[in-house]
Amino acid sequence: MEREILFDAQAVDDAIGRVADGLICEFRENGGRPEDFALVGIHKQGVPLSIRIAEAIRSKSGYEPVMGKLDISMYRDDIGTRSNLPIIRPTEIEFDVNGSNLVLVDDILSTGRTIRAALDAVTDYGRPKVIRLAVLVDRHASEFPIHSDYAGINVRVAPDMKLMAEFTPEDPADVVWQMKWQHK
Amino acid sequence: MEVKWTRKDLLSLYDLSAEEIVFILDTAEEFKKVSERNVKKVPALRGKTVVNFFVEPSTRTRVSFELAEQRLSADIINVQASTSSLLKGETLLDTIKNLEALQVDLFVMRHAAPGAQNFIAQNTRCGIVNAGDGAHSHPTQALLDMFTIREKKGRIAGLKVTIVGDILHSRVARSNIWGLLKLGAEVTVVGPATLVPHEFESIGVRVTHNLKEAVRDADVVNVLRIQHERLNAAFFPSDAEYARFFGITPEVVATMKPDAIIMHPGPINRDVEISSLVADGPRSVILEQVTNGLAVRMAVLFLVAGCVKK
Repeated sequence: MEREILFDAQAVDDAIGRVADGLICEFRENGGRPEDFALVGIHKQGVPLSIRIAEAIRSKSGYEPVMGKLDISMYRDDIGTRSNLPIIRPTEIEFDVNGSNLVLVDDILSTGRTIRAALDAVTDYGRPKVIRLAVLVDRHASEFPIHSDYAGINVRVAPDMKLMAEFTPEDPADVVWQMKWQHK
Repeated sequence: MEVKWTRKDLLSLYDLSAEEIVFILDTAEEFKKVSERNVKKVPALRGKTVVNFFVEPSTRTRVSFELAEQRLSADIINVQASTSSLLKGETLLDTIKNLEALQVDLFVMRHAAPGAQNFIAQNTRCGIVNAGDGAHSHPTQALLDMFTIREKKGRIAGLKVTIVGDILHSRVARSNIWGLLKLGAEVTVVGPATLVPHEFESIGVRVTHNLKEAVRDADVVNVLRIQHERLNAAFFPSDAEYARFFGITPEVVATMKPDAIIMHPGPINRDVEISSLVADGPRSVILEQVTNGLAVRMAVLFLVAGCVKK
């Protein structure tokens, strides 16, 4: 089955704006110390998304969130059951996690297993004051008691459909598409 | 291109492609950071059992592997030949099969017989990591050497690497030669003619018996240990004479390129193959090799464990 585009560049851009609005609102309620807020993108697509959200926050509010990158390969619960071993990408958390307001950023919230691993991973770096979860798309299919705090798009798709997002400048265009899972 | 790692065993660098070697080194970069954190542990091998099976004595390699396993959250069993049923006449394969029946997942294995690990790997569903088989192969040592070279020099391709000492009996030398040639380095081996035969030219290295000529243009000088336990004949007259002709002294270092680094797999025989002033000097990266060995072994265990079937 071919990939089918669900949301185009305009829809993705609007969704990023909604996530940014939600985070700015929480920054202000928290006393507006933007340097206490950190956006941590989860590899792979959470990283370019976190950069896009940070740009939106900057242009809307002037806030400059602290940025980080997180790879969760060492924290997955499925080693030995996957057909492909993950490529471990660089984790870069250069700020003090202790006491921070830390926002985990990922493109699609599906089963919640990536986020479970990310919570384990990021708390090995310290003890944040709060951890929030911001995603572009929440497909409301979590297998764990894990839900998004900020979702640009809420959508339900059939369980056998795979949902993928792409972001400029890494990818040619902003887009969210779906295709049928191909089980090997 | 993304590399697909499919091996349940790491037996020899001879078997690996250049892409696979680079993939291990890249993976090790991230594992190195784990040991620099406050929490020096990840759950990557949680629920996996690793047997460290050393049929030949080892301290540093075994400790390095054991710490790597602990930092990956694996469960660990240490078996040493001197206390195992091998002494009661059990065959090596039977020992392995009995441990396999306990649902272990990986063996880190050292054995004096070249190829022992290859034989076991073909006869077990478990993963096998070769921690040294006789004079044949010691892949994680070569990987940590290459990791250190790449970290210090930024690349491996095009570098001139000179390996000094007992090439004939050295699994470290063989493994380094295979790996370095695959990644595009130029390798020279140097030492007494009894320990550095010209046959090595057939695998693509330059052979010489003149130390100063061999190190003059080198970017990396890897000094091997004189392995008294393997030297069962008179390969050279005395330690003192060896040190005079092939020992890395400050006078030798003075003839090297100013940015050349000096490596040694340890344990060092001070003032035999390397003088203390050099081993402890600014060119030496010997202790960084030890640090990097941990990261490389974590990466190797992580990769092979992912390919072991239940």
